This record gives sequence, C-alpha cells and structure tokens, in this order.
Amino acid sequence: MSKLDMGKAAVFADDGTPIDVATSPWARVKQVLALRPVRITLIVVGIVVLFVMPVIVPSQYIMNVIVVCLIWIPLSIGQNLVTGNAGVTVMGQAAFYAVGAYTAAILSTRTEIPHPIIFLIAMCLAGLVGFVISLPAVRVSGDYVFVVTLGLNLIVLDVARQWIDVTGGAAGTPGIPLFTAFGWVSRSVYDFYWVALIVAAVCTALAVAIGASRYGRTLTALREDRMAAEASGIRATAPRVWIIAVSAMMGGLAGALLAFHLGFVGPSSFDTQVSLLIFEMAIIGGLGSVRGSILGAVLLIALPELLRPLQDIRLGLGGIIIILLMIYRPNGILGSSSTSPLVK
Amino acid sequence: MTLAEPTTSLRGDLAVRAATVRYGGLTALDAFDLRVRGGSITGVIGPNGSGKSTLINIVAGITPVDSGSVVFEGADVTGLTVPKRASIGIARTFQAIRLFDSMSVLENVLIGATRNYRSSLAASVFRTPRLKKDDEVQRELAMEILASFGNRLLPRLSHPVGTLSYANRRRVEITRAFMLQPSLLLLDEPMAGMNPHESWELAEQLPGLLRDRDCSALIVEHKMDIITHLCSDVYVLDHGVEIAHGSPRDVVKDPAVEEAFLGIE
Repeated sequence: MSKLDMGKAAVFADDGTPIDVATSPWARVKQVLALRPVRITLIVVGIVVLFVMPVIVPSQYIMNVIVVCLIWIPLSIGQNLVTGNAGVTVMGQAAFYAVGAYTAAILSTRTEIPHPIIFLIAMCLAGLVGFVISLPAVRVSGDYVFVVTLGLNLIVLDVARQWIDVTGGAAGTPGIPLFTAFGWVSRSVYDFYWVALIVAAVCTALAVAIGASRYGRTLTALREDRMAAEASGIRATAPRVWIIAVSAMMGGLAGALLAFHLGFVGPSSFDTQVSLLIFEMAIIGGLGSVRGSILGAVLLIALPELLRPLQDIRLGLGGIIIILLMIYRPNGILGSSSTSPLVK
Repeated sequence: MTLAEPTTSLRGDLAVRAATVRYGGLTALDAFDLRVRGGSITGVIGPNGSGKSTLINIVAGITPVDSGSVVFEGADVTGLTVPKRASIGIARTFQAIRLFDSMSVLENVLIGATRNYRSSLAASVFRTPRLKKDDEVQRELAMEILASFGNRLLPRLSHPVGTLSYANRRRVEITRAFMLQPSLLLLDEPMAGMNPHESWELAEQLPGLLRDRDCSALIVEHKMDIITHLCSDVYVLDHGVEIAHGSPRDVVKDPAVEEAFLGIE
C-alpha cells in the first residue's frame, strides 16, 4: 500500500474490510448502493413518503399530528446535540422555544417583516439567548448548566406571563397571520406541512453534519475525557457554548413554527414540563443519535395524541419508558452502543 | 535549524525552576529544579509518591505550582492553561491511558491534530474545500506516525480503541500526542502495564520517533534499565526533592539513590 492509499483506506465496509473509494460520482453511487442496500432503500422510501404525505394522509386531524411531530423534532434534536453529543445536561429547551414563538408572534402581528425573515430573527434571537446564558455557565462546570437553563426557563415563563404589553400575559398573543412566503400562503395544515418539513429537515441535516464532522468529534472528546481533550489542545469552553447556541437556534425555529401553526402563542406551551418532555425525547430515542431524537419526538407526541387516554399521562409515560430503557437499553432505543450512558 | 534563527536553539527546551506543590500538609514537590535540553530525553525516576506525576502535571498545566515557575522555550508558561500549553508544543501521555473510547483509532489520533487545522470547527460541519485539504494533510501525518509502530495500528484504523490491547492503546495515545507536532513530549510511565517485550519494542522506537519529529522528551518511568537505555540525563526524586542528578550510570551508583529505593522495597 502506498502512503496515499493508506490515507484513503479509512473507509470500511460493514464487515471491516477496507474499500477503495470510487472516483467518479456515478461509480460512487453504485458502490454505496451495493454496500448498504437496506439502508439506501429505507432512506429512499422515507423521502418518497415524506413527499407524498399530504396526498396519502386522509384526515386533517392526522396531518395535524404529523405537523406537531415535525415541530418537536428540532427541539428534540437540539436537546440531543447538547446532552448526547456534548454531554452537557441542559433542562430548559422550552425557554428557547418560547423566545422563538413570542418573537414570531410579536413580529408577525405588529410588523410587516416577511415571514421567512421572521423565522431567521426568531432563530438568531433564541441562539443569542442560548449563547449568553451558556457562556458563564459552561465556564464554571457542565453540571451548572442544568441549573442555569432550568432557571432561564422559569425566568422566560415569568416574563411571558407578566410582561402583558408585549406578550399578552396569560391570555397570550392571538391573531398570528397565515404563514406567507414569496406570494405563497399556507392556508391549511396540509400547506404548513411543507414549512415544518423544511425546518425539521434542515435541523436534521445540520445535526447529522455536526455529528459526522471534526466539530462533532471534538464535542465527543470533551464529553468522554475532558482532561485528555484539553491536553490535546482543545479548549473546553467555546465548542460547548456554540453547541448550546445551535441547539437554542433550533428551539427558536420550533417556536416560530408553533406560532404560525397555532396562530396563537401563550405561556402554557413553555412550562418547565415541556423542557422535561424534550429531555425525555432525547433520552428515549438515544443520546447522540439523530434518528433517535426523531423517534423520541414522534413517540412522545404522536402516541399520546393517537391513543387519547394516554394524553394526560404523557410525562409519566415517558418516565416509564425511560426506566424500562435504563434497565434494558441504557443507550436509548436507537442510541449507539458506543455512546456513554447519561449515568456512568 | 541554522544559526540564522537563534530561537530554534530553544526548541523543546524546558526549565522547571524551584517548583513547589503542596497538597494540604503534604509537599509533593519541594523547590524542585529540572532542565530538559532541546532534543534530549530526560528521565525522572523515584519511588511511588515521590512527586513524579506531579512534576508532569505542573509542566502540562494541570496542577498549579504554589511557587516557582515553568519556563518553556525561554518563555514563562506558569500561568497558561492546559490547552494553551498543548498548542505551543507541550504534548503528553497519561499514567493511566486516557483515550476517547467510543472513537476509532484514527479518530482518536486526529483529535491530537486539533491545533494543526487552519480551518475552523464550523468549517468542518459545512465541509469547506480548505477543510478537506487540512483533513488530507492531517490523515497523512497520522499515517506517517502510526507507521512508526510497524503493523501494530495500521490494520486497525477503524477499530474502536476500546477493543485494543493495552500496549496498542498506549501506542494510540503516543500517536495522538505526536499529532500535536510537539517540541516537548511528557511521558508519564509509558511502559506501565506492558510486558518486557512490548516495553523494549517501545523503548527502541521512541528515540527515532522523537528525533524525526525534532522533539525532546521528559519521561517518568519505574523500569531502570529502560531509563538507562533512553536517557542521557536522569533526575532521582524522593519526597519531592532531588536526591541525585546526572548520567544514568552515575545515578544508579549514588548511595542516596540506593537508600531511597531499598527503603521502599
């Protein structure tokens, strides 16, 4: 093997044999197909189903459930990036959700700012809050972030309830217009599905890209052995602050989705129980697994929605699932066996 | 390399000056002086609890000194953080091997290359062309260093490090340290837990690795024969104080050294 060959032998088939990566794009496609037929088929089927969803879903009610699941996916994925990949336990995702939702509600009812821009503002504002809150917290210690983010959740909730002039207080902000972009108006939940799908897909793609990147490896290193990571020249603060900011941005996007989906934003959507629910989604699906985050969101949102009697015990249901998982599958349903469990 | 650059003569040069470290009432290091000259391998031996690991930790920046200073390549680094010291060229291995267990051999090794990347972490998410180039260069460097261990690690690049033998885990740790392109490598009992064959294999490979990478080393070790083989200059520590210093041959004959070691056994 020449030196260059050895450098490229880092691609391996599932059975561990090294593969020479094909050079032309089409040969590469054929190669991947041959190597992982099941995975590729599933992905293709999944994408097709997502595209024909509005046609095959019979009732508005079920479409509604699907859209709500899509809204929760960025929250669950964001939580998992911080708790799973970076190993920092945060418990206040609802705060960023709220910042995004109120930003969208206020801007869309009081200004003429185009709605896609509102999404970006909601995202950035939530990200900024995440950045500012995590900067001092991460510096002190990882565990401290848990308390700080929980505190943030309570503060944001209080602001939403008390700052009546801006947020509408307990009555909330009603009258959010239909989502409009480039002349297209989202007139029903069937239309809004596309907006929610785009946001969820972007967050999913970003999370996958982070997980597979050098940034992802840096976070894993900090999580698994901070001292060894620092001795390898990695600064412990900046990468973790940024991932909290990114996860907050995802929360902000979810908030904006919620605002345009419901047409109304009120404080009850952002209770600390909501943060706990998001936390459960990430744990149940599997820490460090993007697919797991999606599954966790779908399980905890769609199941209780479809099996009505379960609705009132959703948090408890999540708790039971977690206890069972901790016994039988401590890494979560789709968690990779390599991911260290939350409790070591 | 040449006389035109006088600063390069300080490459890998370490001076520990009157370093004192106290843990509560216990003095782990007591006004200890040490010098590692650029390009040399300096050894530190001493009984358990004599302050050897503390010495490594104050140079790496993990343990702060109560008084005294650490001077690296002519600059006082006493106040610098661990990652900062790593990024100016002080690499280390740990007494109890510390790897990232969920990651593969290659991934572990590439973590050591963090400071060599000119592209940012954000760029790594979006796979910019510059990152790809960086990645290629670092992979090649990794292959080069991994190849120093013959075929021990090269066939196992994608294996999770948790599945490796103890000696191979140590080799990964040493490779990761070399990925920093350090000018000083701190080795905290690198042969601990290895059988004699593996220890000697490593002892044969280390001087060449260090020479090729223009790196000096400070090595803490129990095995006297290995220290004798590797080092030109040896310090003997006991209760945080230097009891002997010199060439390995002179040091082992020193009566104070015999007493310190016999006293333990």
